[in-house]
Amino acid sequence: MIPKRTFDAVIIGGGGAGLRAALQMAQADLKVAVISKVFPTRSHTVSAQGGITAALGNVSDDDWHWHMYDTVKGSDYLGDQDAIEFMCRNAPTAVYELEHMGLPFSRLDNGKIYQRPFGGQSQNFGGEQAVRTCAAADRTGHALLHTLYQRNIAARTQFFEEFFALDLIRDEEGYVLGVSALEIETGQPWLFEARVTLLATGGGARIFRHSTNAHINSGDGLGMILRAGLPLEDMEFWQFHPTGIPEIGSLITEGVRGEGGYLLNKDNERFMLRYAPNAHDLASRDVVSRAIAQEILAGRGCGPHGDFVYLKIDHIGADKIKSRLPGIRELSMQFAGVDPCEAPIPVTPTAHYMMGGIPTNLHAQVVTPERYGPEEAVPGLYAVGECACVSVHGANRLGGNSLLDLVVFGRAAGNHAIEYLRENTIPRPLPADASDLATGRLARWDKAKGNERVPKLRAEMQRILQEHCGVYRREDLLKEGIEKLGQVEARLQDAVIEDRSKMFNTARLEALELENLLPIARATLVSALARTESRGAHSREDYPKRDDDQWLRHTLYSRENDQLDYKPVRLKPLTVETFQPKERTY
Amino acid sequence: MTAELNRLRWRCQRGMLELDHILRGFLDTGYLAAPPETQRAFESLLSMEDADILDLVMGRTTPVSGELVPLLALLQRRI
Ligand SMILES: Cc1cc2nc3c(=O)[nH]c(=O)nc-3n(C[C@H](O)[C@H](O)[C@H](O)COP(=O)(O)OP(=O)(O)OC[C@H]3O[C@@H](n4cnc5c(N)ncnc54)[C@H](O)[C@@H]3O)c2cc1C
Repeated sequence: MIPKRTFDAVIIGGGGAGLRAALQMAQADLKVAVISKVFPTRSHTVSAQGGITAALGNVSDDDWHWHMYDTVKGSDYLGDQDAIEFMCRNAPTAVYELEHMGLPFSRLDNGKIYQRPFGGQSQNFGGEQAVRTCAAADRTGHALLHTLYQRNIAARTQFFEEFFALDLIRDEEGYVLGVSALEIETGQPWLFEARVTLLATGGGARIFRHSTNAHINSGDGLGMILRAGLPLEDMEFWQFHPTGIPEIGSLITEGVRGEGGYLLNKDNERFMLRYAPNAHDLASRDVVSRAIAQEILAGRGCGPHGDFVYLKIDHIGADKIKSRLPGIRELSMQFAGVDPCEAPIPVTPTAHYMMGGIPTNLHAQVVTPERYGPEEAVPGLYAVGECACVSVHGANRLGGNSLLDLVVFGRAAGNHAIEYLRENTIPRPLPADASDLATGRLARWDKAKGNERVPKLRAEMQRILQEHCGVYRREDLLKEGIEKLGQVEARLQDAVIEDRSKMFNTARLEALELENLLPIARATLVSALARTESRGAHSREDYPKRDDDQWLRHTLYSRENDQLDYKPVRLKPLTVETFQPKERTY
Repeated sequence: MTAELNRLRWRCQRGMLELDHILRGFLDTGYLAAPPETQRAFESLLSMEDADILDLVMGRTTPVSGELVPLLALLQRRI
């Protein structure tokens, strides 16, 4: 047995989701551990510059019900309407709670929280643009992490920084009893025993070659779930942000279009007027990404290879750009070599956000159809944030709704876990093989022989996903992608790491991350091939229409034999009327 | 030295993609050839917050401590 530590709850991930859940539990005097592979305030949440959405009505008239409508419509009706109602209704409270914790929101002249317009936001169920996204300058994610981290320290949450979680511990009856983790500094494996285990490991968009995500976003929690024999939901739905800087992936926020920027093809045409006659350049992300991809496919892309379009903003004037979008100006100058005060910024659709993930219910409990009948909770296991699929984003997420998802469901998870811990006071014995999966994986990399290298295999996987499962998908392309991925998976058996040292062995960590990325890539391709319709971010060239009769349901992918199951979308909200599926126009 | 470089390599893993590019790029191709005071400055830069590092590298803020200046010049030239 490897050494063990015991807590009431162990939380894997110190981003916004993990920290919000941890705080709720720690404030209830529970013994809470947060494990994070990087220092919590260096989690990917720090990248979120745009803000957090809540119908406060500080700038435009607003109502949580309108926010709900936009989110349901944005999700292309795949979002579960009970979860969406729960999130939108609780959004103002969640934001005021952050304000009271000390999050330094930007202010309007009247002292209220500053809000900015984002794509897909409307008043009166599809009317005028709403202004709904609350921001702390261009540092909302940073401010969120800091506020929550400080609060957790005050509530005596214990942090295990630079610990890499390996695998869930589950007993024969299916209870999750903690997690194994590697101490990165020493190479020592540990068991973290807890009656509640919560995954908040973030997204996995590094399965794609072009991604806005930091390199740490390897979807580790999803790999753990699949290895534990549990399913993943809606993995075919990945959001491509319309405006990433080509090659680098650096994101140019929607805020640029919010401030009046627009897209141009090589003929200098403002093509979004054709694709979204009302919302134009502020249409929902999937709509804009598809429009750009279509322009590129039609030969109207810009540059020597015709593989990007331009985002023009110079017409609002250098002063406004410098005062309202300073960060973006520098990003563009540094990474695209363009001063947006003088010339348009090259942009292209870039993998950005994972709508699918670990299936959860309104309390953030992980649910599974397997073995327990339809939708039963896996006892002791929770998931929150980008790694989870509750599903509030359905087939397409609206900007600013992710940070909201983290805090609303982080809090809900904490509250439910407190109850669960009250009812389950006695720890169940750890199974004799609790550490086997983890030690087996570590030993495999310590002893491996062969000629393959991890970085090369990762690059090949990323290229396959980019080419075979990008903005547009097609049966033959997807099938070929699955075949090619199979070859990469087979080659993983022959992969070795040269560095076998113990301390901070980054080669080993990259290998362990690849073991998480590859099954996510497979889940994505297999789920995408099966869904013979186009909905939200999943666009099939060969099935261009949404098909509600057959496909108004969630995909559940399990690793064994690539099994697919489906479950219905929850169309019934908690208290209001259902928003019936309609054609989505912007 | 391997352990030391590995430690720095892991600390270059950040929450912001831009910093992954800038920091890891420098570690892999510029760090070993840099003078000891620049290496020390790199260490202290890594201990800072992502948003603050980005501001420094982008030239939006000026460093409080002078020892970062030559390092920042190197990092900015590399982008
Ligand atoms: C460039 C960019 C800008 C964005 N802007 C916005 C925005 O303006 N508004 C908005 O709502 N959303 C935005 N998003 C989306 C949003 O930032 C993310 O979806 C959200 O921050 C995810 O938070 P999280 O807590 O789920 O995960 P993360 O913040 O990614 O945290 C994951 C945590 O898990 C830990 N972890 C992962 N694997 C392991 C492991 N094996 N062992 C131990 N620890 C592990 C990590 O160390 C980290 O602490 C943006 C995304 C990007 C890429």
